[in-house]
Amino acid sequence: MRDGLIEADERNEAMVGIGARWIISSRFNLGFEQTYRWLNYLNWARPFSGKGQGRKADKAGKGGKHFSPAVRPERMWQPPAKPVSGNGNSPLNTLYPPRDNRLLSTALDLDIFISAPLAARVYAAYGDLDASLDMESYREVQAGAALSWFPAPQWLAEVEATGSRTEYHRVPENMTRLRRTNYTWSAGIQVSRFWGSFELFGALGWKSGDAPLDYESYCQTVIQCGLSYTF
Amino acid sequence: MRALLYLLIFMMVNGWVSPAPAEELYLGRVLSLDRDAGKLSVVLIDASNGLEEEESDAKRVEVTIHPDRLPKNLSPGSVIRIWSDRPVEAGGLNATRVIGPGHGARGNDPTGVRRRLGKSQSLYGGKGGGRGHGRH
Repeated sequence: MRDGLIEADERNEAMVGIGARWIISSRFNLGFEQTYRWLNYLNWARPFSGKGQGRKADKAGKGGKHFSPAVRPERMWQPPAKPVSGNGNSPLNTLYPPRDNRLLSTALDLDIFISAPLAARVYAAYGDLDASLDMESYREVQAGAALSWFPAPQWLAEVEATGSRTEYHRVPENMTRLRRTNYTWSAGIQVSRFWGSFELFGALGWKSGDAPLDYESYCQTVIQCGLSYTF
Repeated sequence: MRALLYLLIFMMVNGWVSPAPAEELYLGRVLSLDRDAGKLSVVLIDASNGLEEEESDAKRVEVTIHPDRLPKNLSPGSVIRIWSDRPVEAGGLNATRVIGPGHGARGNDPTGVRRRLGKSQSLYGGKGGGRGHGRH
């Protein structure tokens, strides 16, 4: 998968995982999932670049245009031998090589069948990111709940709320301007109409929380619509 | 966002406190089905005793449902949930909804693809990128 809109997030991913689901009773299902993801970033970037990381737009951690093999012809591009410092010669303003990260995640969820048109899911997850740039490694705990309403056979409306706590446990002690513990909250609502394996959806989401850089908080609203095909 | 959280809590509490009074939920295994007629033959499972005991006290019942409401991935052997507005004691179930295999609380998503798409769209709590964040 590539995320080409934000250069610092542009990457390929591969994932393996295992999941299981138990029927506890007529009203409850218990699910478990363990996944291992390989996140192969394509561009040089400053620490904590990308969405929700606290970098302002004018220093969005891109770094890629001049150093990225993804955007320059191979014969012209020569990678710098060492990390390249920008303004202030600070580690936070230094371009580092494309990351090669590993994310191990464990998730538990409980499905609750409340009534014919109404069902809920509560879930908790733990993630451990082992980043090639040590300071970006983190441990994250996430918990949330979702409610699904099936008003008619081909319709589904969902609301969801989630909270997470992220701990950047490998940030050097002497490094300032970094918040090691970050909290994030999000909520969303989605309405879907199904035609067989096709789904037409519209969604509205809110997210607010901490960002590791500059002790800034952020809030964003995302409106989406689309057509998806699942199999 | 706070208003949405209140709405979620309200809907959950409301769902618990005042479920549809006439509906009963049953767990069963499909023995046979007639899609055109909207009829299923199932053996009910008493989950409290464990699935392996279902055959010892087999309760075979006929289930009727509107053909358009039958999940598409049903086959003999499938474990399903049946919401019925008629108790089994009345002789047969009249299903208002049948929840098929792979159909969790969030709809039909047997492989988890739909949920993962939602995550990448940052709706389901995902942070939508940034050093691998939130893509559990």
